[in-house]
Amino acid sequence: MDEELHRIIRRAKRGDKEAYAQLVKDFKDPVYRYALGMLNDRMDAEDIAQEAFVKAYYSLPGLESEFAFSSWLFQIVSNLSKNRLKKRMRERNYYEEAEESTMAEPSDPSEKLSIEQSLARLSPEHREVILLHDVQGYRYEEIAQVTNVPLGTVKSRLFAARTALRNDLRKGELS
Amino acid sequence: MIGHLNDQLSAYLDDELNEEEKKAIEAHLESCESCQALLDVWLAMQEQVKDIFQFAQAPAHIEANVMATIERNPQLFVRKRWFAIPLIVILLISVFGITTGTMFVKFIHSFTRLFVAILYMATHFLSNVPFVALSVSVLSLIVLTASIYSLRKAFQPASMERG
Repeated sequence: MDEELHRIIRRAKRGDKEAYAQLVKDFKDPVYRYALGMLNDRMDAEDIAQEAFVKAYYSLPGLESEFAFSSWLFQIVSNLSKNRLKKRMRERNYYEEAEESTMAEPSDPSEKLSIEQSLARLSPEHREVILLHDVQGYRYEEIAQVTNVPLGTVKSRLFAARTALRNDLRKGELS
Repeated sequence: MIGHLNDQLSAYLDDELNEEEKKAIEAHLESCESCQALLDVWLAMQEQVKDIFQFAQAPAHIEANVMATIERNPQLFVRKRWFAIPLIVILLISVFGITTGTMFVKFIHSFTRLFVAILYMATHFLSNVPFVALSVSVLSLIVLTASIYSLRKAFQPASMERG
């Protein structure tokens, strides 16, 4: 299976569009899931997944080894998702400044949060490691490659992310 | 409590510890109920997170959209050529050679012009001062005579010397 995948990646690297279409087919679900987890919005996740595949196709000749394709692809998705989150943040700040007094009421602190809501409230860095590990099933070493941080940071970040997620979930229960 | 274990317990859950570290955590878990409970909570959370995305599927048209975009812009795909680096090196050497070659030709040309100018000035000076011209002519004749004499001595056959 892996050998077959590597052969397809090699063909795609040489510009074989049929091979690349096969790669998109094989990776579109995990890529979309990851983008959805990062952005918590189906339209944005679809946009980012498409953008990532197009970007990956044109950058493919620069990929050193076909063995690194998966982590390399997720690195692209990760960067694009984070850029999208920053853009959202800028837009939000802009509208908040424009409508100073018409701010939405903060959510009820006694309301019990679902795991999905709590996950969306984590920082992008914490959400990222949780998604890569728990959803994509990546080992620490692969997460370190995708996120471009040392192995020790992955370990401590996952611990911090789990602690933050648990604390957020417990808030509703305790209040 | 987790404070004394920090990220080791989390790494234990992910099976990212070596045998020695694993044994240390397991020994601790036997006597620490709060860590055991925390491990259970994390495990449950992990399952819940997995469940959220388990059935999430990418829209079917993603593949078609991606391929259509790629078809529209084929010129952006630039294959990595193995000979690109040597080609750049040869190009740089050529540019360097041409530049320095031109400079070298210019240098020779300037030097020749300077030499001609000096020669012209020297002859002009000699023709304008008769004493110097006469002295140089006499000196030249002496040097010429001395040269002829020494040459004749040098090429004289050895047999004549013996006779």
